[in-house]
Amino acid sequence: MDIENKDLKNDIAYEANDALERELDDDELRAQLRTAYDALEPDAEAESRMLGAVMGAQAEKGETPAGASETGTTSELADGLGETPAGASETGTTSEQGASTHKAAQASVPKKDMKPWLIGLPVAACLVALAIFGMNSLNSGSSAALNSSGVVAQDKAASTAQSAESTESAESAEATVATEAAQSAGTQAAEGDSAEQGSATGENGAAAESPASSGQGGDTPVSSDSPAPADAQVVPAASSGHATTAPCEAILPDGSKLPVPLTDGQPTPVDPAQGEGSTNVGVAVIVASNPELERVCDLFLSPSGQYLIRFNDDSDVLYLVG
Amino acid sequence: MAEMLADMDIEQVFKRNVKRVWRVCYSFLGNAADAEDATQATFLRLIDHPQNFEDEQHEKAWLIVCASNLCRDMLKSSARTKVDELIGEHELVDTRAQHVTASLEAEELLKHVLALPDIYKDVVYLYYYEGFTTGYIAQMLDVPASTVRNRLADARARLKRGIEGVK
Repeated sequence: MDIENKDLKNDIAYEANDALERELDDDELRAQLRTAYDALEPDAEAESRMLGAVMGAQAEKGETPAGASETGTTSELADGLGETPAGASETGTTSEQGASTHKAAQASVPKKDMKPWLIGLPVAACLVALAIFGMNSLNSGSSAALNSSGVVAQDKAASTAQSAESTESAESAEATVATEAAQSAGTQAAEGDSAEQGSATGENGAAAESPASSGQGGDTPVSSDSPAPADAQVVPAASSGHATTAPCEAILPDGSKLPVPLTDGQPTPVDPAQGEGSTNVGVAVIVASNPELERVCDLFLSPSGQYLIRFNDDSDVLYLVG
Repeated sequence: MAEMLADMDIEQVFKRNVKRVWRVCYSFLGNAADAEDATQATFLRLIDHPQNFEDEQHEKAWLIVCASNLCRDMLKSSARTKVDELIGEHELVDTRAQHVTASLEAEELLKHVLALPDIYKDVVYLYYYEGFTTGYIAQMLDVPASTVRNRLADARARLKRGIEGVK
């Protein structure tokens, strides 16, 4: 009985399914739907975009089958370097490009040919970085060499003041420069000659107008607590282009040079009476074959027209110049 | 896996199936831009998960089912829901019109197809356009054959009603 019922159920279900299948098999509806679906298709541009993206994705996956293309990115890289591989599209093969463009690139840009560019780019970047680093090192090296002689303070002063000139903080920058230069030259504000130094400031300001100066506003007021009237406008020998052939020379604010006579390897002091009535006319830069002598010192002009210099470590003693 | 992919020429697969996949995607999503995205995603899925197709029918079936699933996922996303709210029905029809070159009758039918619930869209396409049997569609979609038939019957009734309503 159960078996009969089961068979009956199956028969009924089969009949029902069969009837449904026949009902569904609607040729008219099928034809209409085919017509409707056939009318629905992507435009050629969209198809090309999709193809480009798909092929690009496959190439990126690194499993490029024979005849498949490289990625658009790779072609763009080649373009970016200004060397489009022979036959490749000028515009690369981004997904926005047409299928034909894509094929052109894929046919002529084998994967192996592109690898050097991928490697070359970071290498080129490293070389440029090294070159820049090297130049910076050279510059700092020359500065360091000067620094050992104490002259670089002026160099720094000049460059700092130059940069400060273009800003509204030039005044404070020069004050800083003055401090640095004074410290480098050993100026002792505590020695009580700050008034004298102060008078020299104005003169140094005038000297700033000389061709050898870096054109800074030497007459910019220096802050009152500045220990010395250091003249940022005196350009050291290295940066002003003066050759130092003599054992010891003084470079004057106007850029001219005067020999400094040496006695036993040291500047020759003058009789205090000879220096009496001398006027401070700025600072001079001493350049010498002996680095110990190189420094910035005060420059005086005696009533007789003789230039004298005064080292800051023994401020009472004047030395002969010229 | 890699060997299978190497054996499969993705470009040829794409050319054979792009229109088919795009149609399925369009029927789900209703606009060309989303259909393009979904079509692209379908082929990318194939690249990521290479298949060893037995024949072109198998290939076709896999792509259609994959596209349908991707479209359903897209439709489920909240972003898509928000976009739908913004686009509105009017713009949807306008967008579609740019891609339909059929007669008014076919266009009207297509509108009804697009208006079908998502569960009917793939079975209608597979059965009426691609000509797959209900048994094969059931295997593809991993549902009982009776479910496929019922969905088809329901979809057919809806389409008939829509067409007759227009007439």
